[in-house]
Amino acid sequence: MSIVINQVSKSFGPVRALNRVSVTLEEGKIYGLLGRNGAGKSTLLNVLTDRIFPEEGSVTVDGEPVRDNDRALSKMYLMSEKNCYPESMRVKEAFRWTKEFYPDFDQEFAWNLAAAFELNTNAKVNKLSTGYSSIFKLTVALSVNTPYVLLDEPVLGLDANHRDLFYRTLLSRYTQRPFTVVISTHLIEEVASLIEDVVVIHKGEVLRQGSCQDLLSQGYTVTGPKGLVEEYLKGKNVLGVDALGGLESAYVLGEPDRSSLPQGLELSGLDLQKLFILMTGK
Amino acid sequence: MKAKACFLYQILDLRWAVLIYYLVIFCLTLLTNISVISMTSSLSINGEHTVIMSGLTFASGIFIFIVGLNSFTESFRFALQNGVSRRTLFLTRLATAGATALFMGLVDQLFHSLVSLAGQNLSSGWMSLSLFQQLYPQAWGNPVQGFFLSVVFGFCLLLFMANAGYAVVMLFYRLNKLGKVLVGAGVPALLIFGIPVLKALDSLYFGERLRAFGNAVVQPVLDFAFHTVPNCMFSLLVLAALFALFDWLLLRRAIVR
Amino acid sequence: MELDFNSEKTIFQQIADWLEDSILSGAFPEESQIPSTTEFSVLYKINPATALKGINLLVDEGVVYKKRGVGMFVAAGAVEKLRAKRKESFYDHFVASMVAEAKRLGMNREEVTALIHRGFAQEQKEETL
Repeated sequence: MSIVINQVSKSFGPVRALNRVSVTLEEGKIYGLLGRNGAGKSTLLNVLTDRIFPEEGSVTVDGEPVRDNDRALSKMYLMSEKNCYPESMRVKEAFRWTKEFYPDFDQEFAWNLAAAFELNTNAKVNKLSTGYSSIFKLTVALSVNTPYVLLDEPVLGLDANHRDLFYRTLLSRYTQRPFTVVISTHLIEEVASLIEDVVVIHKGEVLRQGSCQDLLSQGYTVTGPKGLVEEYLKGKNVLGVDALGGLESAYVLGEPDRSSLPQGLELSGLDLQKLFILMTGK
Repeated sequence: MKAKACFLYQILDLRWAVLIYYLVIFCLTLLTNISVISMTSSLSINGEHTVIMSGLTFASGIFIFIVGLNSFTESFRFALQNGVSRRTLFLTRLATAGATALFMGLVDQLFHSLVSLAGQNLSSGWMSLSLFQQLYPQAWGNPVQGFFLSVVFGFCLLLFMANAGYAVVMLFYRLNKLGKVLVGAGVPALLIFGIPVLKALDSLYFGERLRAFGNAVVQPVLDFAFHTVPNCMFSLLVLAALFALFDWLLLRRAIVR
Repeated sequence: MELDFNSEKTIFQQIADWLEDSILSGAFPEESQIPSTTEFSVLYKINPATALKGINLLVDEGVVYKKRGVGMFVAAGAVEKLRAKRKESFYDHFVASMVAEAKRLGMNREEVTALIHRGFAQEQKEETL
C-alpha cells in the first residue's frame, strides 16, 4: 500500500519543473515534502493527483495507475493552493458535497473543527481571506478520511494559534487512525519534529529522501574558536560554516570522533532547517 | 459512487438556471397574451383571429447551448478536487445533458400543448406550436403520438445544442490566448464572409462548379438527413455524438489551470 | 517539560529523561499510568513514532510496561532501578562537567567543595521550611 512515483518528468515551456523524480510514499507515515519556492513541490502534487500530466514516468496508488482512475483518485485528497471550489459555493455546502464524493468524510468532525477555527460556514469559499481559505481546506483535508492526504503549504496565512491548532489536530487524527500525510512546505522549522520522513526536492530533482532521523544523524555541528574549528575540519566533509566574531559553527557530514575532540570544541546535532538551507543553498 | 455525486452536482447546479428560464418564458407568455387579448378586444376582433406562438424550442436550444458553455471550468476543477476522473466527468456531463434535454423537451411540449388547449377553451384563437409541429405538421398524427414525437425531437435537438456548447467551451479551454483570438474572430468572419467569397471564387475561377456540386451532392444529402422525422432525429443524434467525441478528445488531456 | 528541538539530545531521549525524572520524583508512582504516545505527540507537536521511541527506551529498561488495551504503566521497583542507573551516570553527567567548568573559571578543589556543602545546606533549609 503506497503511492509510487516513478521517473516522473514535467516541463513548462523551457522550464524543467520535475526531472526524473522517483518517490515512494508509504502507508501511515507523515512526510515532509521540502523545497524552496519553485522547487517543484506543487507540480509533483498536481501530477500525483492527475491534475496535470507528466511527459514521462508514471504514478500508481496501491498498485493502480492514477491516470483517469476514480478508485485511485478517491484514495487521495489534495489540499492545493489553488481554490478548486465553485464560485458561489458556501463552506457548509462544500462540506455536504465532500460527503457525496468522499463517503468517509466526517461531517460532524468538520463542523466541530470549523467551530474551533471560528470559520464562518455561511461564507462563500471563494470569498474567504487567505488564512481562512487555508483553514477551510485544512478542515476538509483533516475530515476527509482518505488513506492519503496531501497538504500543499497548509499553514499559508494562518496565525500562530491556528497553526498550533492545525498541528495538534493533525497529530490527534493521525494517532487515532494513521494515514499518509504529505506536508509540502518551505517552513521547515515548524514541521521538523512532526514529520517522520523527508523528501527534499530542489530544482525539480529529489536531493534526498528517507527518515528524518537518519538524515540528521548523517552529520553534526561543531562549535568553538575559529582557529580550533578550522584545524578540526581538515580532511572532513564540511557542509558549511557560520561565523560569529571569533566563534565558528561548522556543519559536518559523518560521525564525530568524540575521543579525539580537542578541548574547547563542542559538538551538537544538525537541525533540519540548517541542513536544508545548506543542501539547497546554491 | 463518484459518478452519482458528480451527476447530482451538475444537475443541481443547473436547477436554478432552468427554473429561472422557464419562469421568464412563462411570464413573457402571460404578458404577451394579456396584451394581445386586450389589443384584439379593443380592436373588437372576435375569436376568428388566430395568433400563433412559436420559437420556444429554439429559445430552449440557445439556452441549453449557453448553459453548456458556462458549465465547464467550475465543474472540472470541482471534480478533480473531489477525486473524479476525467472519464467519469465526461460521462456524467453527457448524462446531465441528456437528462436536461429530455426534461426541457418535455416541458417545452407541455407548455405548447397547454397554451393551445387554453386558447381552444377560451376560444381566443390562441395556438402555440413547437418547432416540431412547424417543421413536420404532417407527422403530428393523433395528439398522443404527436406529443411523444415532439418530445423526442426536442430531446435530440437540445442534446445536440448542449453537446455543441460543451465542445465549444472545451475548445476554448484548451486553446491558448492566440488560439482563442483566432477562433473567436475567425469563425464569425468565416460565417459572414465565407459564403460570399466562396460564391465569388466559384463564379470567377471554378466556373460555377462548386454550385453544381452543392446542388448535386450537398443539397440532396441535407434533404435526406432532415427530410423525414426519423432521419432528422438520427442526424441530430449523430451530430450530438460527433460533438461529444470532440468534447472527450479535448477533455481527456485538459489540465487544471 | 520543555522540549529543546535544537539540543544535541534527540527528542525521544528528552522524553525518556523527563519520564525518568517524573518517576523518580514520584509524579508517576509505581503501578500508575503514564501519558500515552498520543498525548505526548499532540501536546508537543511531535511525531507519535518519536514519542513511542522515547517511551520504549523505558520499556527496554523494564521501568515501564504495557497493559494491552489500557496503556503504559510504571513497573514495580522502577524507582530503585532508575536510582541505581542514575547513580552510575552521576559522575559522567555532573561531576566531570562540573570539574571542567571549575577549571575554566580557575576555581580550586576547596572552593568547589565549599559550594557543594553550601548546596546541601540550602536544600536542608528549604526542606525544613
